[in-house]
Amino acid sequence: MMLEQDTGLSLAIAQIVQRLKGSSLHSQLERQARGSLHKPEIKLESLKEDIKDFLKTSGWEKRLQNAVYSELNVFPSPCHPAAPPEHMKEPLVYMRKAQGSWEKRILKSLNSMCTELSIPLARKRPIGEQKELFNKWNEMGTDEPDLSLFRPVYAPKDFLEVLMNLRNPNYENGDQPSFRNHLGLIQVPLKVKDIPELKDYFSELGLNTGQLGIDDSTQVPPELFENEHVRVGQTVLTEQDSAAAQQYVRQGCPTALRAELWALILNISNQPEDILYYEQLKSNVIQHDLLVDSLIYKDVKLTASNDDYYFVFEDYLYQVLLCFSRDTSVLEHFSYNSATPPKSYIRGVIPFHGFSMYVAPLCFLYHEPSKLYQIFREMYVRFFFRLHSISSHPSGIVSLCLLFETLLQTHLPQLFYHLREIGAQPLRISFKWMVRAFSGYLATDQLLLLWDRILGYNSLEILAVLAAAVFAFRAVNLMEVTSLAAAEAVLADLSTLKVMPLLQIFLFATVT
Amino acid sequence: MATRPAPCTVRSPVALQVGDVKTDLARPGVAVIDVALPPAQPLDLQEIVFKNSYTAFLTVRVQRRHPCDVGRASARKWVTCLWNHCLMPSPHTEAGSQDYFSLFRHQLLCDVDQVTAVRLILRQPSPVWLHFTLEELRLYPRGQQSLQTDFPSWLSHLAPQQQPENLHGGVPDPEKVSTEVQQLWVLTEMIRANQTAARIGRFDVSFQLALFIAHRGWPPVLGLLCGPACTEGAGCILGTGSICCHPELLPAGHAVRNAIKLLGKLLRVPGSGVLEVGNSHLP
Repeated sequence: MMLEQDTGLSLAIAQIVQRLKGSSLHSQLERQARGSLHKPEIKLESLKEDIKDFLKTSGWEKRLQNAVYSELNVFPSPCHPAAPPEHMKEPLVYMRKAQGSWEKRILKSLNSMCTELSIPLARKRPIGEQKELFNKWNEMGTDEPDLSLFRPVYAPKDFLEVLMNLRNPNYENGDQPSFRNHLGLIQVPLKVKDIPELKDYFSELGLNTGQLGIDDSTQVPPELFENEHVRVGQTVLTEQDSAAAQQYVRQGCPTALRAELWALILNISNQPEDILYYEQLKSNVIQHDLLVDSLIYKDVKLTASNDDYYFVFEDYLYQVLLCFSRDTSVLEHFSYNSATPPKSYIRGVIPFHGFSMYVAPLCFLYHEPSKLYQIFREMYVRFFFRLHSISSHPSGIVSLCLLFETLLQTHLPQLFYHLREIGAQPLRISFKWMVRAFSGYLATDQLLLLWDRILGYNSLEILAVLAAAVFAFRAVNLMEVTSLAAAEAVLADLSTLKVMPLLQIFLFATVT
Repeated sequence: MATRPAPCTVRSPVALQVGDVKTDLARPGVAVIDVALPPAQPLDLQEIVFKNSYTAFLTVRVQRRHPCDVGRASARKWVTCLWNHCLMPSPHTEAGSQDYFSLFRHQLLCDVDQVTAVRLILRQPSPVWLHFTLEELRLYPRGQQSLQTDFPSWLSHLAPQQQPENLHGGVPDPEKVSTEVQQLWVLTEMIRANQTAARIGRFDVSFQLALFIAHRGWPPVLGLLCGPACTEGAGCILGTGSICCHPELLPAGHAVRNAIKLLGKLLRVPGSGVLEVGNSHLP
């Protein structure tokens, strides 16, 4: 067993070294090491040790640690060497197939939209149009192009239909109802956590630990928790330690420190080459017009522009999303994503209805477009992509749906049965919340507290727990409804909810 | 690091069931896979590699031949070398159901030298699965490692940066060219080593070069940025929107062309590393 652990460790080390080699951090470290040779404290006899000490004291070792920690968080642990690359994307064959056919459907829909509207997938802009766009870059929201003929490629409920029909061919999916059939909409036997395991996993959300979102309310004197928590946050920022920051935000981020803490956890430093990269993407946008751009425009106009909290950020959203659709570095993440990028001019992600809501809350934190862009891209390749691709990952949307349904059935069986009987399967209502990570449904400050925990635990399972907690909170009203429409109405407005008390009560204070 | 598995015959799994196999509705939870090795070649087993297909627990028994047993077939004994090894921690759910596994000799309960036959006993207590088995079963003899275990230690350390070569005489504009060529050379070395998966940042040089393929007998060189005269639209992996083109498209005259010719000779790089990088439009 020891040998297996050692070889697993050296394989992981080799993979991380390979990914960091050739990165800008590598060249910076070498430049620093070479520059340190002029310093008097570096002696030739103990060159290696002295340079290591220098890198430690000047903070470069910490940056390397943060980079390694980031790689560990993002990339899955190395597979068995006999496993083919598609196994790393997704180990279950039938899920890969389902993702493949879903992608084909989306592309077909996009292509047919192109042919219908006689619009090319991509075209080069004439010089006049390029100049115009360049001048208008900061106010693209004032444009009112005719988008009436465009429609979103798909909406979350289309995706839900696909997930409902997901079946393992080796599983006993009999017609007779039996213990093998799940009572909810998801029929795939994935392993999900139950409440004792969730209590253990989310132990920092417990009743005895201070939380922002609960213990910073006006009735609680700040000396009890808030002041100390802010002080610890400032220390974490001074130390520039990613791992410590990730642990810290599990109890919530103070508003003033949130932007920097998230950037530290995501390991975004906004170097000159990052700004340059963003400028290159911007010039790509100016030179070429993609069909996907019109879809993005339409999505922003339909969702974020209509939202009371986010309409002011409309211009930022265009600046980020138009560049994102042209960013080929996003393709790297597809090696651990069950999806495959389409092999055509559409090189990246095809947006669906509501996609722009992933970016909108970040606009409250970051005002510089290139930093906002990088934060969004990192959040996407770590978390958001799992919400709209079919995979067996514990944070994938399929597992989240199953977790939600299992929690509801186990802890609110009467409610679940009642809703099922009236034709209002709970997942039909909560699916759209989870796919958007609750963006646009919760008040912004509550949403940011929720996303703090997503970053802190590096997992999206909290979305399913919150969805179940919302149902538990409104259980009394829901027991009295008699149709799906009425159930939707009871759960239509979540903007007054406080996220952290709901989660605490559901996980730690419910008698089971 | 040779990876040749030992030749063996893997029979299909046989379900162990009480009662009539065809009419009994209950699904068997136990199956046995027999692996026969060539009779005259007993194997010193190093590793067993397989892909799981919904098996929950695995027991492995081997038949060994002792040197004193030569000629007496009845004296060969079966011993259990792995007992109830868990492949699926939660047999009703998917975790571990289609994963790849390796069993090394040091993990086994007994010595596995001089093995003449292997028997794998598969158990799947959950009734929800229709079939369960193991796939892609391979046995590796001792002395031949499978892919993973033989890592050279240098992979765990950062490799030292190589110094670029000195330029020789006969170069037009030597000062200008040499400073910029050194930077480019380092870039090509990095690409040629091709051990990095990180993206290469954009390179700022004052004049721009073009990509060649084996053209008039030059070695293929490298492709980087291109001049503003370039009109092809497909983007390259650098994301700059610019790509590589033939020398004929360059606006400059002889000076640039000569510099490029010389570069080709100096660098002597096959260029295959860079050519692979996203340049699908090249003939």
